[in-house]
Amino acid sequence: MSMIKIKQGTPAHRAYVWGAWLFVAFVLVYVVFAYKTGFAPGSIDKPFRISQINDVVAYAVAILGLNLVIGYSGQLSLGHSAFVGLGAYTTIILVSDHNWSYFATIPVAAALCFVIGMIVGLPALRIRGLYLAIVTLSVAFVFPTLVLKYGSLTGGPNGKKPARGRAKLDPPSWVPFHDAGRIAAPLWIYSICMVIAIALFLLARNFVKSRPGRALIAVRDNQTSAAVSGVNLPMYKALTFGMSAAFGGIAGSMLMMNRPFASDIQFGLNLAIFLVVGLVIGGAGTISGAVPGALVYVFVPYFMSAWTTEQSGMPPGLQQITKPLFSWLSKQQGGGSIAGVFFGVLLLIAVFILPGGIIDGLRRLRARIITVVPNPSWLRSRNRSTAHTLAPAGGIPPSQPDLGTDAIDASSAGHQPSDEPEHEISEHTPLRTPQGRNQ
Amino acid sequence: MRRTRWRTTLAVGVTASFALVACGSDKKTTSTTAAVATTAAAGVATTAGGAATTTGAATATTGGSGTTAATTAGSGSATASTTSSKDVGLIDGVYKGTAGFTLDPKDCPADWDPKQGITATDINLFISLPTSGPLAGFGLLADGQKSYFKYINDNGGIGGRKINLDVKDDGYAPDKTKSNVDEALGANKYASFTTILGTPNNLAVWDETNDECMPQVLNGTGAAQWGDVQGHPWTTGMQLDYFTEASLWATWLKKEHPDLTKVAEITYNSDFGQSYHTGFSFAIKGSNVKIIDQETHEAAAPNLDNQFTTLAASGAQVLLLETSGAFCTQAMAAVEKQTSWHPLVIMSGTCGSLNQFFKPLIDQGLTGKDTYLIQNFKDVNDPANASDPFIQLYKKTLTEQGLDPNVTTYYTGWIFAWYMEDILKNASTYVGGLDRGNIMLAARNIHELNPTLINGLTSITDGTKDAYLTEGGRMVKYTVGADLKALGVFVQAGDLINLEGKLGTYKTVQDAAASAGTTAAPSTT
Repeated sequence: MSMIKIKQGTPAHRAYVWGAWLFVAFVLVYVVFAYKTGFAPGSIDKPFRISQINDVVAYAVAILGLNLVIGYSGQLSLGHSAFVGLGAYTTIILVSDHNWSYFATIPVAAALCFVIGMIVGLPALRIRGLYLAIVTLSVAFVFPTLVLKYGSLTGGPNGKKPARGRAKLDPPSWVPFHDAGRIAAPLWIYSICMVIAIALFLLARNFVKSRPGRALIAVRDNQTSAAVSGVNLPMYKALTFGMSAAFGGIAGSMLMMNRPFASDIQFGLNLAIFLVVGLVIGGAGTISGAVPGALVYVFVPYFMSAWTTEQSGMPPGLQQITKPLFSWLSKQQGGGSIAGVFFGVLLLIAVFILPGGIIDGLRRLRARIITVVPNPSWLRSRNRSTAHTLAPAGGIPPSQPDLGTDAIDASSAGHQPSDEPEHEISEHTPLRTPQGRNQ
Repeated sequence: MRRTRWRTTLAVGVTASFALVACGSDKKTTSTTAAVATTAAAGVATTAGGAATTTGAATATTGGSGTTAATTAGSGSATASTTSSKDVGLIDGVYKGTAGFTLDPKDCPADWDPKQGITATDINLFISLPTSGPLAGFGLLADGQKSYFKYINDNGGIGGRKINLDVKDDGYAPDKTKSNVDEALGANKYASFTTILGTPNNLAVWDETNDECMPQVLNGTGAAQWGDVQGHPWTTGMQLDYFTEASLWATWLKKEHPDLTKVAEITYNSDFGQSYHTGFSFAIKGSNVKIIDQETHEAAAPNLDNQFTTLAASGAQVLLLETSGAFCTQAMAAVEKQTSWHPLVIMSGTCGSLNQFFKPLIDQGLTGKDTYLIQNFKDVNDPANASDPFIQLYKKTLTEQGLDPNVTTYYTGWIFAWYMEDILKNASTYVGGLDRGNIMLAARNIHELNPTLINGLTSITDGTKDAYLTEGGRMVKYTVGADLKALGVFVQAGDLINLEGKLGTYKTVQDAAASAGTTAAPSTT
């Protein structure tokens, strides 16, 4: 089926795996130096674009946290905007009113959100599914009201920001780009956020690939059998809620580093819904899905809205196709609000064409080009060496998660290969339907 | 495979029908969009307290127009600048304005370019306001401005330069406004920002625009902060501010009803509501008018029943409704249901829309009659204004451009755009010619009779002396006919009141707030 077949354990396979990761690492690092080299696709040499990327990084962390609750433990939580907001307000209040540094506020925001998240997660011990969704949605609903209620602390409807000219995050002099002018500060924030985000992604990955992660998936797939197998349901549920809230809180802190201004509208229901949208579009139940999810959340509405008012920024082909539509719209009253409709249509198309999210779509696309052919003897030798850390049945080596079941799956069931073992679990959560890759 | 194909067909069908519905409904909403704009104003006020703007307030009202002062139509206007333009502008490396107002380019960033966004052929302006979300109706304001600028460009522009207005959507979210402004500042192509909508939205960005020496003029909100000449010289407002509106109430009350001295207030517990309170307290100082009761309510209050129980017991002769959104309607209903207490009711101008705030009363068997409020813009839908030359020009131009002139938000756009054109025109005459410093000097040196305002109202700013553009209006009274099921009209209830120059700068508001025991929103934090 696919054009290239790579056998596991061969040098080609190692080159493929390492090459892919090195390429990702190179791109992430290149962003910092793009302003110097003159090659800046997507105008990443502009301070504003960097600050948008910083938003992406922050929202990716928030969506990742949400994924722990929804995608892995299978509990539909819609209140995540409140945790992002709580983290953001924690940071901005400590920075503006108490002269803290941004970095010092991150652990506080994370800890606070962890505790509040556990408390909010308590109802999850008794109720499930849509009922839990409603309970958590009320948290999202209440948060902006609380912000307005305690206006002396939060700034109320006028928002909260540090005093003029204060609390700027300028890079220290040892940073190579400290004299890069206006782009220096966004790049510095990018570097910080990226380090934090990578750490959190690794943490989340290791969490879900390890014992607690498998316990979570067991809870998601069948609570009763999970409990019978010895999974401590209350502890794992509360822990997941707390962790996910802490991720949200850190995301909020990162948002404030990037754009030190918090308002009630920013962390309202809109964000709550769009975090879930980002999760579904990116790919529920995947770690990497948070990145495309955040990219969609930040950039799609941005470009949609920019193009409806100014078509010259569009890619050349699209510009000619849509010209009649926009020239007609420009004469219509309120034609600019069409951006929202386009976004909605795009989401609909995405849900139909990519039911497993963008990550799943990318994997299916990749499977047409490259297949990693299983190598049983190599797998056995690997499993033996790491046997003490492995679960008995799955055979998923924590150190090399990209390979394990992929191979077993491809050889035994003849499915399209997939990287992440959690995709093979067929139980339906509210957000994971069986359509798509299994049909 | 077959099922997949079936699903794809369905997907395409569904999305196509969505697109059709979306595009098709565009036309149908034409007649209701004005209502959308005011719904929006209400929504903002209800959910965000001080966020209320009065942009949508000058809507579907009808009433007598009794003033006689004549103004010329079109871009020309009646009064002349009091200072010779030869004394204003970039003189000895410093921008020297009127009344001691100066801007030193040395305070600006090293790479500040005074000619940014101004070429031999173009002037680029930027606006951020909601064109999506629940407040999308306000987006028409930008369309209205574009419409006026097109009219100006078709008639020679500003000394041959065309005015271009770039619009960005912020959905009324201040963080989006900030993001839009960041982008616009980074684009290095705009001469000035204009009419950014919303109090929190402007507050979110004004430190930045002032640090970057970017003119942020004619803010689309009525907060008093925009008069902060000292702290934020690069920011100006346009609308009648809430502080002055309450002062107009007091002035009118003392003149027309000297016997009514006991006043009670219902105050929205926010900057917005407190502005009215301090404005009124400031204006009645030294008179025999006394505030005998003030009841506040929160944004989340379900109703105002408790407040009215207390107020009725106070026996006040005048009731001030310093609130907005649905609370206006609730309060009017509560007053009308009172059996033994019949105060004179003065309401915030943000609740001026008949469809939005008075119509719901009819369904309850009430009317809201005899409620007073302040108006200061001409109403395009008022038959009495049909012969007004400027209104005629407006209607003719919009019809020619294929827009519906009855949508009042377009007219609001014209009001803002008229001032912007005036600023650009005057800045061109200053020493050094049209540049960003001179744009700011011109924004603080306006002496006009804006034909979009009620005839006779002046629009004056003067450097550090007078930072508020519009400080007048006239009291109107909502009057219903015999048919209680039909909407009534606003009829004039007193002469034009003009407090031009009374407010001065934001410092006056802060001092007044200090003496009234409330806190004005900080300007320079």
